[in-house]
Amino acid sequence: MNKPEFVYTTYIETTPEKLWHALTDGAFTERYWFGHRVTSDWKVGSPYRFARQGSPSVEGKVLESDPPKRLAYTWDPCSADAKKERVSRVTFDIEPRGTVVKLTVTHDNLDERGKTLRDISGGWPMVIASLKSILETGRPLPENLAPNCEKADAQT
Amino acid sequence: MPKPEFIYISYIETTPEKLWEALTNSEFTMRYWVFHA
Repeated sequence: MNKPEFVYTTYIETTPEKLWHALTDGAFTERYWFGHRVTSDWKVGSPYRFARQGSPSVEGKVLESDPPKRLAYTWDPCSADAKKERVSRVTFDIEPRGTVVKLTVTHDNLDERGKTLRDISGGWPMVIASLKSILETGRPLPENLAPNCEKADAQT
Repeated sequence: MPKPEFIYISYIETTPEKLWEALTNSEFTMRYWVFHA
């Protein structure tokens, strides 16, 4: 595991299959990932891309795809600042725990004190909180809790 | 801040007052607090 890394764990009352769908279906990510729609065929080696209102935000390629247990992809933000940094990696581990699911998001291969590390440290707690909310209640969190995302979009 | 430390951030659709109550009311903490290792 490469330092620095960011690890975020939460427990969601859902099934591994529903959580996998929530991470990989573009119409669904658009609802809780603050407007970011993902597109990919989710085969290992295939490209994927997040786009908000048609403009790309993050892209990369699928490194591991083992539904509904483990998904990993490279993380290459589509902003000029982030392009100077090395391409990092995100891994989602999904483990059933009785009637709930343990989700661990590991983001590693990050630059020390880089923009990406700063962005994702603020971003994952919002995205995962909204993911948990939509899966448990049917409603995502409101978009206005993400002022940093709006600012980042305005800069690009 | 002395290391090691553990920081965890989340976002909850509630009010500050309800969250405070949830952290400080023993009847409520008994329902969700699971540290009993």
